[in-house]
Amino acid sequence: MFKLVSADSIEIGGKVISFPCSISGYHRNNPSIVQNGGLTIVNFYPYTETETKSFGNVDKERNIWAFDTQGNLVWMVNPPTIRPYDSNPYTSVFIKDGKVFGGNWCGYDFEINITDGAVTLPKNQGRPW
Amino acid sequence: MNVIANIDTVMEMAYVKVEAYMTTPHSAADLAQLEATIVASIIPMLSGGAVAEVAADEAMLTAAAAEFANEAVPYLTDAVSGAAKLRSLAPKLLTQLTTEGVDTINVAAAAAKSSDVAVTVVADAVETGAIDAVDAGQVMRVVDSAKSIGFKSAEEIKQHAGVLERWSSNFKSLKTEEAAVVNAGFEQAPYLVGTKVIEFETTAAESFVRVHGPNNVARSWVMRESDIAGLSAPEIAAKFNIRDVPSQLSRVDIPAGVKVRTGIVGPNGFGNAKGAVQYEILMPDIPESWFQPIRSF
Repeated sequence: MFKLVSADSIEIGGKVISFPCSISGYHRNNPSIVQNGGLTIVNFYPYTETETKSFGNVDKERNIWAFDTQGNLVWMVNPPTIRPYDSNPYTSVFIKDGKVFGGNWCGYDFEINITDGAVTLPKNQGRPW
Repeated sequence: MNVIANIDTVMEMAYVKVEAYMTTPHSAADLAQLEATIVASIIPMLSGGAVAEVAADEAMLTAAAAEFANEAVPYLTDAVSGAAKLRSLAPKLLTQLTTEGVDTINVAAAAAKSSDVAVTVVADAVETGAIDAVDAGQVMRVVDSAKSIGFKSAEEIKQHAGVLERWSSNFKSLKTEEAAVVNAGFEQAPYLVGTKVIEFETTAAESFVRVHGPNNVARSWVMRESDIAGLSAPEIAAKFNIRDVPSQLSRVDIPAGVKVRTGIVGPNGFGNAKGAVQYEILMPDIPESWFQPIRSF
């Protein structure tokens, strides 16, 4: 279980975890946090111009982090396998058909292997949007 | 009225002008005026870039030029001193259209002069009631947009009419690329092969919208609100070949200084629609707050 502490922090197993910027979707009342396979998986993405600066201090294409029940970091997602832009950060994490996906800025939904954070792009996904 | 159709109208008017000069007897003053008109207007207009229907009307214009050379010039030769210059101008025009061919005309150079010419012709068109002021404004926007982007043929202008009609004076064109080249960066093609994709930078704020679901709010693909007005969510998905029918609509206000690409939607693995105009925000790390909810579908 996790508890939302603020726009950029959560509590897992009594440990408060802070992110470099807001949890994506937090300001739309749809925080990008999913739980699967005993992990709490969080996507963070800047909400304001100010946050883009702190976001620049981390690997922006690995901005989905997974934590175990004690709040320990298990993995950071792998970068997208298709990278049309100079930087292709993830802007959401969600579950569909029981699988975890990371949606990214350029419009693709990558399936995430929750054992190690590796990503694959499903076939027949259609155009990026 | 369709903008491209307006351009046809404008070109037709220009042709009528040429024809009128050919068939009417002229005084010395008339000839001087004719010379000035040709120099200032007709030749650069026929040279292409301005109204850009030259290629489509190549046969007609070539015939006009031939008539001009074969009939008008001999007539003028017997006239006053200005005729000599006219005689040299007409064959030059004929050479341009017949020997070099319309495609080889340096349209880019012509386009540099085209706006002034187009203003005159469009003003005439409005004055005679051929088109109204609103349509005239649209014609001029297309002419100016084509010049701004650097489109160099009538075919390009026709092919990208949607992009041109949505072009803004707040866009500064940076470069154009073949859609196939841009598509190569993606897993499935977002742009219509055979067309151009234009990269530009905003010089002032511009408003767009994005359709999406709960899990794909902040992403690079947006469109003009007018392009989805009155459409249902499934109709929007079909128009833009989007896999998932959107459930929400957000406004995306892009400030000055942001790089964006625009081009035409093409068929892909999900849909076969083509022709819609889309925009792609190229700068990463765009704050999520740029996407402000408008409504749900």
